[in-house]
Amino acid sequence: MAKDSARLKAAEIQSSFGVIKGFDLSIGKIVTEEEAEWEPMGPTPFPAVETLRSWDHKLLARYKPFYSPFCDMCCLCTMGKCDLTAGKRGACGINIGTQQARMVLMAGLMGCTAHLAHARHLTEHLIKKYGSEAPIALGTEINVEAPNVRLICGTKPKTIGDLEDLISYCEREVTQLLASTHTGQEGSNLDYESKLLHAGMIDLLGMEIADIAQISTYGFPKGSPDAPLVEYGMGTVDSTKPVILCVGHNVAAGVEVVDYLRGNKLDEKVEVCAICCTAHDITRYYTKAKVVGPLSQQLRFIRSGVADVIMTDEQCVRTDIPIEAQAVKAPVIATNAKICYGFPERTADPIDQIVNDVVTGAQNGVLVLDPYKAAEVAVKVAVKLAPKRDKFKALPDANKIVDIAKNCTGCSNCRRACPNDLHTDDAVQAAKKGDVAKLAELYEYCIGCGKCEEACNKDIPVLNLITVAAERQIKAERFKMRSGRGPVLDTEIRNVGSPIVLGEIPGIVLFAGCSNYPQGHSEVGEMAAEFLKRGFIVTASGCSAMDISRYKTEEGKSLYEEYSGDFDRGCLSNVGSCVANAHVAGAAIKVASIFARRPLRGNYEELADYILNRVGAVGIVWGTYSQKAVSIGTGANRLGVPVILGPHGSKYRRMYLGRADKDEDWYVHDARTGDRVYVGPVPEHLVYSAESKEEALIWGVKLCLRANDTFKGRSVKLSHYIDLTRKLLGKDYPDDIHKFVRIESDIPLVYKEDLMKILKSKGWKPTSIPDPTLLKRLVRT
Amino acid sequence: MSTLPWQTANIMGPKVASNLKGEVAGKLIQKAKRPLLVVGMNSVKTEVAGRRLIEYAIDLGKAGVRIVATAHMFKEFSDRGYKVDADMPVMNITDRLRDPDWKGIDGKGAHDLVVFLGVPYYLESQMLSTLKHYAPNLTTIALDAEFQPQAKWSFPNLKDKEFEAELVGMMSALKEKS
Repeated sequence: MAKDSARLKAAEIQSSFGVIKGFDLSIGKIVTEEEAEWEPMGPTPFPAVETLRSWDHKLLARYKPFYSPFCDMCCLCTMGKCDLTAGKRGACGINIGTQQARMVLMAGLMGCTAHLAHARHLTEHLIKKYGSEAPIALGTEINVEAPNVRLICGTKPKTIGDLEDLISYCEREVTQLLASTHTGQEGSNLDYESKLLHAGMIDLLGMEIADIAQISTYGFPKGSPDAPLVEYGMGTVDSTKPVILCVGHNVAAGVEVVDYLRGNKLDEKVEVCAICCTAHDITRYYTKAKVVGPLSQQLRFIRSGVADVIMTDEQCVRTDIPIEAQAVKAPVIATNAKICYGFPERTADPIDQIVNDVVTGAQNGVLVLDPYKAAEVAVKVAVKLAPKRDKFKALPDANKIVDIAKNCTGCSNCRRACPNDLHTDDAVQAAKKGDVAKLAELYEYCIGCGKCEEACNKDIPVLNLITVAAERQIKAERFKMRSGRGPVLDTEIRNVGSPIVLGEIPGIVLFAGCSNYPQGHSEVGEMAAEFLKRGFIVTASGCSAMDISRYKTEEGKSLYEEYSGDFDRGCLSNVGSCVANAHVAGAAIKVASIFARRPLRGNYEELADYILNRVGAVGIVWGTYSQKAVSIGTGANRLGVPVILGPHGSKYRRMYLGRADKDEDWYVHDARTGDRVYVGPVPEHLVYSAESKEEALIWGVKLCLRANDTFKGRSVKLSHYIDLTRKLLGKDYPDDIHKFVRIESDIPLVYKEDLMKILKSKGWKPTSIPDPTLLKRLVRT
Repeated sequence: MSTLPWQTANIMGPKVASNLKGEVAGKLIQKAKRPLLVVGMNSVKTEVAGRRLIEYAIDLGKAGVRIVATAHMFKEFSDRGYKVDADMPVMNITDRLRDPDWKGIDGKGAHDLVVFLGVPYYLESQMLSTLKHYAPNLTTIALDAEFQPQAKWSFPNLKDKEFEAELVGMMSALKEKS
């Protein structure tokens, strides 16, 4: 709410139409007494860019920005390009660190506004469809319906219409933030980082808004631990039927496709499948839809020719879909103004006219911004076209691979263009000699970007060769994934709040994000399996949630079939699409609010301080690639949750690293006594890139250590840290174990004798377990 | 021998690594007062003339260069009977190397030369970028067969036999004085 907004309060008003008691009016909005007084308002409702700056600076003092410039120059204004190497300043005075912070802010704002614009578009659509009075309805086990909204804005949205003001607040903030990236604005890298932390926080808000709106109106699972299992994998798509493929993140048009099919009794006759988060959200609505896969499957699946119609919405959609679709004679229907592809706009035209133009090939792509119309067009086109297309594909026949490979000169340009440096050159050379096995082996590791083909001087379709060679594997891709359950239930928080905060559940691990995996699709599932075995709460979202399905137990089950979908020790939940990431932050907030009874309303700094010091949670974004991942991760960081990125995350240019060897950085105030207490490097980093899966496993456990762990909880966590160190590094004990033992009781009993010797050799002295806070104002003495 | 970046789009700016010969690498390492070798996970995947890169790393270790193992490489060294001087994530060691007050792996003083070997190409490039900007006085060497423009010195893009020859040349130069 703007600082200069007016509020009128009166205990009693006598008027010609009666006596009004407890009147409370804010300009632009009437509030009831109940709404105004559900909890005392905290210090920072609707924070502006500068409001939480001091909290940001506290974080940044401990977790200093670490820059790895991805480019030595700034190319943003016409006084450039400016060389900023090793201390040089550009024409505007900027240096390399500030420039990196500025670039990461821009990336973060791209991510934040992607979700925010999605929230805006979807909310406006839902208001038109269901009315602004449609309630926020998340079921009987969720009372704290919007923890991010309550924490950040200090309000409780009751209806879909209430969400519009919140979106407007977010839009105001991002405007300020983006303005600060113009030439000649912020001169401090730390304050650019503060702005990015703000953008991250706004992103969590935008995501929560989008997801609670769609859960409430579309009837998605409302935090159900037993959300249904759905099918994932290219092998699950029934290509004998007309196939509609939806690609993107915004489910508005996809839902209408399902409704149209149902309404016309065509749902058994037409196959609906989807790629990326649209797949998550369609299957939360319609469990018969098929999840083709994450964004890495776009090119492959489109080229397979299975899809008779391709509907695009927004985010992470390949910009060359029209070209690829035309090669397989599949028309494209763009349904969102963010991706128009230069198509003619047909929104106002009669449906049958559009259908006729597309089916006859007069137009290969159309822009239809009305989701109902787009849906009907898609279904009608698919039904008419499917028999004619005969699944025309752009992939070569398997027996042609060797002939195509014969053109290869061994220049290795394909390998050098590959983000993962895959040995595509060796594989194509082997295929030249008749051996296609190496091509097939690459499938598991290939992220499907197609850069190999762009780099080839002989126009060899390397990605196609890999896909065709791996045809058998692809057809066998049939996995089970739990559909997105949405938020964590308040009742679940009551069960797990205490063991999380006291450290008895060793931690919460969220596998989030994209599919730019460094070493293949299987690693996220392998990591999830390891954490589940160890009794962590494991949750997942987005592309990672899909690929966790690929892991099969010895009995051939997916982890979703093997483990319960509760938010609890040793359980695996899929919260849903990208926007559902807000619920995991929401869970951390709810722990502070429901379990620890910290005041929630407009009280961001205190709760972030609580989470940083008490809630052992970590995000692992193993295949991170997007700008959205930057904003989501930074939003988690501001809330005190650390994140481990896959190695490609190093290209984001900036990490927040702690220094375990600088003892002076690891002191807190003891809120009980006011003493300054050394707590050790917990958590050691706020965001960093791990090099290997093994490293990520060890650090995943380590980054769940918290200052407030009880001795029992610390002992549990250290036992996992030691065990993983033994298993993966072959070392008896981690070199830094002494930093994490505060008192003797922290030591797992089975290691006591050995560890006491180690501690003695390090000159260890016991400290205490404080009531930790970074905020001096929270000290009670 | 090409000195275009191995990953061809990895073009950062005007300051680019100098092309390195094996002999020169050996001499640079030998002259350095406090050389350090950072070894990553590709050291066990990459084979050069029948030997894994990690074995060349051990040769350097035996020639007196301190070794930091990154990722999970501690175990790979240990399985080969070699105890590294430290192990930590590659970001951690880079963060320390860019700190002018850091007293080195053994607390005896800052390192003046660091060699990277076997860290995944793009990750190594990012770490070298950090050091280029924030530790401009630190000599950095990229010792893999792929050209790293962000280092001060880098082998060019080498084929297997060429790479072997350069590594052998480096070890000979190192042994000459000792």
